[in-house]
Amino acid sequence: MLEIRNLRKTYGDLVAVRDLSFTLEPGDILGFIGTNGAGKTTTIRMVSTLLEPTSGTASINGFDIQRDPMGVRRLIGYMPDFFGLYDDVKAWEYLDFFANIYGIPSKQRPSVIDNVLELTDLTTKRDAFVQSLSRGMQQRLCLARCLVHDPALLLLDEPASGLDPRARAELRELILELGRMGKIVIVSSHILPELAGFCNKVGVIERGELLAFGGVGEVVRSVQPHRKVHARIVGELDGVVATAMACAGVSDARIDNSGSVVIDLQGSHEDQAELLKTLLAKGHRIFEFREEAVNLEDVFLKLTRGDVN
Amino acid sequence: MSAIGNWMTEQRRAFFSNAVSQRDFRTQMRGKKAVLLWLFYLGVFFFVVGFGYQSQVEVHSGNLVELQSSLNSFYQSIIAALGGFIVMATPALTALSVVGEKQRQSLDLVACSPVSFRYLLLGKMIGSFRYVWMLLVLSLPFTAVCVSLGGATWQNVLVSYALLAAHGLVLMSIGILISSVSQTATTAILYSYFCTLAYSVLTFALAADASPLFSFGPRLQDPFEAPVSVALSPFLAASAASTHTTILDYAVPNWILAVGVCLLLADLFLAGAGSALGAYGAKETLRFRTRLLVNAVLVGSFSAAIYAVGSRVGSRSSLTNESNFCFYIAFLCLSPLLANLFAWNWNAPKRFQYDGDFRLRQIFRGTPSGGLPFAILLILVGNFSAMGVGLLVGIPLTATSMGILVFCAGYATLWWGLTQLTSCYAADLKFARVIPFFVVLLCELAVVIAVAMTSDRRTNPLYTFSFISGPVIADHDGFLKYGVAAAVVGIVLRLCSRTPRKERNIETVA
Repeated sequence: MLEIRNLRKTYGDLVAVRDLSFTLEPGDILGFIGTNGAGKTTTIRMVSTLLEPTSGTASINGFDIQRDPMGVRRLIGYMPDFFGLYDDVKAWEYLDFFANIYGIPSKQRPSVIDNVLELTDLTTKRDAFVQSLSRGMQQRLCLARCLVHDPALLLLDEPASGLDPRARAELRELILELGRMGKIVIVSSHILPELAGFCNKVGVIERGELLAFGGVGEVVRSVQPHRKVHARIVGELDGVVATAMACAGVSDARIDNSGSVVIDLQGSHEDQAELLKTLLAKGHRIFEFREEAVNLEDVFLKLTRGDVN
Repeated sequence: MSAIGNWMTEQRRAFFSNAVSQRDFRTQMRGKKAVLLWLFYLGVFFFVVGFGYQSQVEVHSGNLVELQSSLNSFYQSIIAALGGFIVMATPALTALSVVGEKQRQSLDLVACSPVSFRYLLLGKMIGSFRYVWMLLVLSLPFTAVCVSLGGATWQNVLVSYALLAAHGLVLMSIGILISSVSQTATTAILYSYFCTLAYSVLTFALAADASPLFSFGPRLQDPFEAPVSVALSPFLAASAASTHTTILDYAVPNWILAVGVCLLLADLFLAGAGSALGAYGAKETLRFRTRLLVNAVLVGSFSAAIYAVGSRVGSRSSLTNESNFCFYIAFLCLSPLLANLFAWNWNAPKRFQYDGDFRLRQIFRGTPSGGLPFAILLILVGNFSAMGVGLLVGIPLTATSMGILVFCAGYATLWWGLTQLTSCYAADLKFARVIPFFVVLLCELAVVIAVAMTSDRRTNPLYTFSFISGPVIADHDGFLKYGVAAAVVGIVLRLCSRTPRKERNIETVA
C-alpha cells in the first residue's frame, strides 16, 4: 500500500508540491494529470527517494521514504521521462546491471532477464545494443529495467511521450497487465484519453495542489454531477423529450445535431434503468441507449486553469 | 554477528561483484577502441624509453661501472615516465565517470536503487584501476630488460609498481571527487587535470625537500633513511623504493607507509565524492567527516615525524621548529574550502539550508550549523596530534605551537563570519561560497602590497589586514595575537549579518 501524507516540497518561495495526501492499494493504477510544472515529477521523485520532501512523508508497505529510503528503493521501480541508457551495452547487459544492483543472485539473473524481456516483448532484441533500439523499444527496455526486482510500486513519469500509436497501445496493455499482477502503478501523462482507458484512479494536480483524487468515475461526477445519456430513437423525437423530462432525476433533455436525444440525469443507475423502462413503456422505439463515456479531458479543463508555478 | 555478516556481504558485493565495475569492464574491452589505445600507449612508451636509452645508456657503453650506473638511471627514468603516464591518464579515465552519468541522466536510476553512492564510486574506481594496471603490466617488458641488464632488481620493480598503483588510486579518487562535484564534462576534465597537476607538484616538492640524500642513480640499491614524503611523488617511485623510516628502532620501508597514506587519501577523496552526491543526513557525509578527522590526525603526526626524521638525516627543510607547522600550512592551503562548510541558502537542498550558528549535534550531518564546530574539532585534532607526536620524537612544545592552534581556530571563525554574511545576501549557494574566497584573497593581496611598498610595513594602513595572513608573511611570534583578532572579526561579521529566517512561502494558489 502506498500512503502519502501531507507531502510538501518548496524551493525558497516556490511551493512545488503542496501538502499532497492520498492512498493507493495494490492493483491500483493512478493517472496523475497536470500541466507542465504542476508538480507531478516532483511528487514522483519524492516518492522514489530522489528528492527530500520539505515536510510530510510517504510510505510504501510500511517503509517510510525518509526513515528507510533503502527499504523503499527495494520496493519501487522508477521510470523517469528520460531513458538514461548506457552506450555500448546490450539489452540483456543493461538489465543484468540493474539486476545485480538490486542484489539478484547471479544464478537467477538470466531467468529474471528472460522473463522481463518476454513481458515487455523484447526477447528478440536480447543481444541488440540499446542505442540501436527504436524509441518505443527503449521505452519498453526501461520498463523492463523497472521490473527486474519485481517491485510493488511502479512510478512511470510520462511513459507514453514520443511513442507512436502502436507502441502506446502496447504500453497500455503492459500497464494493465502490471495492474492485474497486483502492482501499484502511478502514471503521469498529458495524454488524457489514454489514461481513461486503463486507470482506475485519477489525480489532478495544478501548481502543486491536488485538485481532485479518486476513482475515474467519481472524479468525473464530482466535476460533472449529472450523467449524460444518449438515446437514439426510430420515429418522432419530441415526445421522447417530453417523456424523459417527466422522469425522476432528469434535469434536461434535448435533441442534438446528430438527431439523438441527450438527457441530463442527476440520479443513480437505478434512475437510469427506470428512465429506460419508462421510455419503452411509452412505446418509444429505442435502438440505442448509452451513458456518455467519461471524458477526462473535460474534467481536466474544468478543474485547472493552466497556471504553472 | 549478523551486523558483521551484513557488512561482509556488503563489502564483498562492493569490491568483488560490483555491478558498475562489471558493466564498465564489458564496455571498456569491447571493440577495437581499447586495442588501438593500448597500441598507441605502447608506441609512445617505446619512443620515450628509446629516447632515454639513447641519452643515458649508449653514451657510457665503453665503461662497465658507468654503464651500470646509467642503467640504474635509465630504470629510474622508465619508472618516472610511467608515473608521468599515470598522472596524464588518470584524470582522463575518471573525470567523466560521475559527470557522464549525470549528463546521461542515468545517475538517478542508480540513486533510486538500494545501493549507496559508495558502491557506485567504488565500481568506477575499480573499473579505472584496471586501466592503471594495464598501463603497468604493458610496461613490464621494458622494466624486465632493465632487470636482466642489471639496472634494477625484481624487488625494486615490484615495489615501484606497488607505489605507482597506489599513486594511481589517489589520482583516480581525485578525478572521481571532481567529477562528483562538477556539473559539466568540461569543468570536470579541467579541474581534474588542475588538481592532479597540483598534487603532483606538491608531492614532488615535498619529496625533493625531504632529504638531501635523495638523488638519482648510484644510491638506488643502498637502503637509506628518509622521511616518508620521499615516497609520495609518483615520479620518484623508483628512488623511494629503497628508503625507510626508523620507527621505534625498526626500519619501516617507506613504500609501505606511502601505500598506507595513499589508501587513506583515496578513501578520503572517495568519501568526499560520496558526501557531495549524498542528501541530508546521508551516511556518506558521516563517513567523509570521520575520514577527515582521521586524516587530520595523520597529517598532524606526519608533520611532526617528517620534521624529526628530516632533522636526523639533515633535511633541507627549514620551515620552523614547531611540530605543528606543517599541519598549519596544510590547513591554510585547504582554507578556501572552509566556506563550503558554512555557506547556506534557502533555495539549496535541505542539508545546505540555515539551521543555526553552532550546533555540536550537526557536526557529522553536514549542515551549516555543524560547520564551525567541525572545523574547530578538525583543528584541535590535527594540532594536538602534531604536538603529541612532536613530544614523542623530542620536539619541545612552545608558546608558538599553541599560538598556531589559536590562529587556526581564529582563522576558521573569520571564514565562518564572512560566509554567514555573504550567505545572507547571496542569491545562491555558489556565490555564498565564492565571495568569501575573493574577499580573503583581496585582503591577502593588500598585505602583500603593504609589505612590498614600504620599508616599515607596519606603518602602511593596508597592513591592517595582516591578521589574515600575517604569521606567514611577517613574524612567527604573532600567531596568538592574529588568531584572536581574526576570531573577533569573524564574530563581528556574524553579528553584522541579519539573522537568517526562513521566508514565508508565498501562497501560489488562490
